[in-house]
Amino acid sequence: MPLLRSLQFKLKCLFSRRRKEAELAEEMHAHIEMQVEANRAAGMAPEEARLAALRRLGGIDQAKELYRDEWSIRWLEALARDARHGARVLLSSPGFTLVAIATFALGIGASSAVFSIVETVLLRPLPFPQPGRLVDVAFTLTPNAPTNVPCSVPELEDLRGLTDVFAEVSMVFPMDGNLTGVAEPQRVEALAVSSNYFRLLGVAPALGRTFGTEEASVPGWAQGCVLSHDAWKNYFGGDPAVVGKKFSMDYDTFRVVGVMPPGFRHPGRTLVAEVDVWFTGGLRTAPFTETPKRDYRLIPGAIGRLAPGVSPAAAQARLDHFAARVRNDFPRDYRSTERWAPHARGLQEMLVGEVRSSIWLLFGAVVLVLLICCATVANLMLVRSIARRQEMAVRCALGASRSAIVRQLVVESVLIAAVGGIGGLLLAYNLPPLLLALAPQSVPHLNELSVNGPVLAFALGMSGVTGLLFGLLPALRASKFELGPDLKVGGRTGAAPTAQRRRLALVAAQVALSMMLLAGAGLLLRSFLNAWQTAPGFEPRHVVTGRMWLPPPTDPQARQSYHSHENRVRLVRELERRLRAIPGVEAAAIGTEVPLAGTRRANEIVADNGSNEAGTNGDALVTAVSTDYFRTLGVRLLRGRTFTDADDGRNGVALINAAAAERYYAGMDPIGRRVGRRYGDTVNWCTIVGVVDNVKAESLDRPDQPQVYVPLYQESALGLAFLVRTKGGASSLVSAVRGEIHTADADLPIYSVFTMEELLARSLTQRKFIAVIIGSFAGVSLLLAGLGIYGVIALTVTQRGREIGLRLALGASHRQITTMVLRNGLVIACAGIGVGVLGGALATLALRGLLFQTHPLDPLTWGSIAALLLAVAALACWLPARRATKVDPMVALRCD
Amino acid sequence: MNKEKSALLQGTLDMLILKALQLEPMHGFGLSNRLGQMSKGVFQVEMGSLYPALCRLEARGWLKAKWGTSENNRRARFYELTAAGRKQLETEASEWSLLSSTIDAMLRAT
Repeated sequence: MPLLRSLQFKLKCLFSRRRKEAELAEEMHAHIEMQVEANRAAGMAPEEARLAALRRLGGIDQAKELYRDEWSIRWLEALARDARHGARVLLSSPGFTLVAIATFALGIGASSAVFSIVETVLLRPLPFPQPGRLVDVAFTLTPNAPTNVPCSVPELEDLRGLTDVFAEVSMVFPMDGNLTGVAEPQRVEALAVSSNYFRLLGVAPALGRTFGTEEASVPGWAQGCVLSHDAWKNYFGGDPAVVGKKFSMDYDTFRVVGVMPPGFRHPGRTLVAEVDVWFTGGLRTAPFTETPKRDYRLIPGAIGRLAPGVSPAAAQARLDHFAARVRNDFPRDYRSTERWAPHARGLQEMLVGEVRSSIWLLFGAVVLVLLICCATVANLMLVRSIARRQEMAVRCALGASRSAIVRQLVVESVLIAAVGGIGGLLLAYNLPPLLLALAPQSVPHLNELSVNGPVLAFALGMSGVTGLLFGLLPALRASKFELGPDLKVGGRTGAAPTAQRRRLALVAAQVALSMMLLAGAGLLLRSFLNAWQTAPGFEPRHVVTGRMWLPPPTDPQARQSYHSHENRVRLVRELERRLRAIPGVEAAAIGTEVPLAGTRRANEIVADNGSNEAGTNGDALVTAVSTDYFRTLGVRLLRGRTFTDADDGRNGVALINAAAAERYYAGMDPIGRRVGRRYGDTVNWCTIVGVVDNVKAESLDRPDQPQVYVPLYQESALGLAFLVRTKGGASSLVSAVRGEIHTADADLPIYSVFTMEELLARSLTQRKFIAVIIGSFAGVSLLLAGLGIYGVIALTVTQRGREIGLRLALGASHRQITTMVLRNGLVIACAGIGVGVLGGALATLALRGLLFQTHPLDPLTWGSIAALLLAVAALACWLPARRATKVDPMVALRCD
Repeated sequence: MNKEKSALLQGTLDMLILKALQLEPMHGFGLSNRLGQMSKGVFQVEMGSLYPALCRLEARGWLKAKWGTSENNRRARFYELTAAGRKQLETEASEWSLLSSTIDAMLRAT
């Protein structure tokens, strides 16, 4: 293929240009000499021979040019030449070049960093085969209730039988586990799943095997477990012979059958941390019943893989059909007032759903920053092109076409963009660790952030596009000029009104964009402060909290069996006594939950408020607490009394909070009335003995929920939290607390130890993260807008030098000149602010979901932001204004 | 006619160069002499046409070039036909004869 060969040839010649030219020169020289010799042999005189030869053979330089045309790639040569020249020009004005490159690097770096977040969290599919077929299965009981309810064993088995909906279904049951037999009892994150869990996800183990028939056929929990890579490294020392090793969890013996590869994570929520141990079982022993009961709902959720060819919509329709059939078939287990329904949602969507809007908002903000950066550089280039008019005019006069000049300028801006892009990538590489430090833990995959292929492509693409775009416009503008006036030295007549207007428009656009970002940041900051200042309902200072797990061994003969309520109560009493005895402790308490520790699941309750004989159904958060719980937290008692030691279960008592009293016992005294908790068919009634103040249970920015408290001595649980109020510094007592708990029972694991103030701060992390990020973007944009205004006004002052000199000569005062300049700048700023307010008002509609007690058009925020921008604009105009007053009228008037 | 520079199409010159090199490798001077000889003085090829054509043919892989010594002990670059070049020459020659006979016939017709 001759054409392909010639292309190869040309590319090869590119690299040996000089050699080729030298060779040709030698060849042609030889040719001429040979012709001369031939001429002389034919009888001509020497000079005549040479002249005849040269005439015969034609122009040498022309020949060289035609030759060069054959092997060179014209446009590539021109480009290389432009690039070299451009680099020289840029290096000759280092100030401009540095500012332009830095601005570009900032824009590209920030947007690449955020894009890497978008890519990691939102765009990257789950690392399983066919991740789009994976669904999360949740169950609701009352049609309008937002809270999910667990499911029962028969319901799960029904789902597994729906082969026209699911190819596989596995339960997902996060649990605490207590790993004993090691130096310090370790709390591990365990996950009970169905035996087909790993087959469902389609992941093979790194060592050993996953669950097999042996594990599937056991009625209780099977001995064989699978470890995560991190658990294997941390708790088993990375021992390559770990398969078959036995260990104790909750005093039961388990055996390792496999280890998962590093990077494998359970795609879903866990209790505290990443899953360490997966185990399975037949669900026919504790905590389940021997014969499965349909209304005994314990399993929190399930995941499934859709059957091939079934769309999610079709699957949901079939599930609804199945639910209706099941409700019909088992009327005893499904009351007519309830509508039990399973819901299948895409797994990926469920995982990222919460953070999706925040992340897209972040991306929108960073694109605004990028636009501002581009506008700044474009402005800088426009300004510079005015200074280079003479150079361009000379080139034009020497024969450069307009497209050649435009190409030259575009190459310069692409060079800036390229270097800026590399700088930006470096920035993007270093930003993620900073982002991770600020980010809330609940964002999935965030620890997998990296600058990888798609991010690189994004950065390079953005650099190229922005470089071309924002180089093209100034280049087109700069190449349009008249030769006559511009060739003259010192041609300052340059700025045509249209050019000035274009620059002003650019700067106004920058101000508008900054206004939008600043307003967004201001609103988010306000929301954060509002949330921060919300009264939590208790006194968080000087309180330490932590969690414990009372391990329930399946083997009833095991010592310290916390299966029995008496044993648990005995432990709680002893812990309270010991904790109170620590010097420096004012009060201590135990409870099943502490406030602000995370999301909680509501229980069904029945309020005996006289509305009808069965009572009003509803839901509330239920917590079992010890006697000093409210005193330790500093929660106010509104009516009645709190629990005493006498409330040990003989007469069921309960406390409710003000929200519950309002919702279910409005207009009456709840004390003496009853509240019941529904478990399946049975209702556990308790008499209300008091009303306490509302406490923020999940997070500061959620409204108060109804809560019900029961005494721990009446009903105990296996997962407990302790609260210790100290007189002075809370963290100093942590080791003493641990010591006391271990004295009571050396095998109890203690984890999640924080001060209440830390918990409070952690509950607001996501809000703070967004506010900080957008705030820093806004700060950057403010700086750039200020620079933009400064640049434009400075140029105006320079170009109006004559006019200013004239005015000064005619008697204008310094103040009048300053006012004139300031007015110029403030007019631009006001125009920008005006447009920014309009645009921002629309944009803040997107923010609505993230605001807390802040109206999107909050006048205080908007007003102060506008004032800030005006102040910055005024400051930016100040320096050029001062320079204007220093103009010497004589010099200005004389100058051309 | 000797000094008259007739206009030659690029492609035709390429073909003639290939033909001229059919027998033996030659350097630039020898080649231009041979072309003049073969055309009985009609075609006097200038350097500005010869060397670009030689570059073209070399790029397409129909010629091979090597430095060597001429008869007068001068260092010169010798050009030689490749196998692909020989095939190309045949193809072009047959195309040319078809073309020229067709045009001849058309011109002769009334």
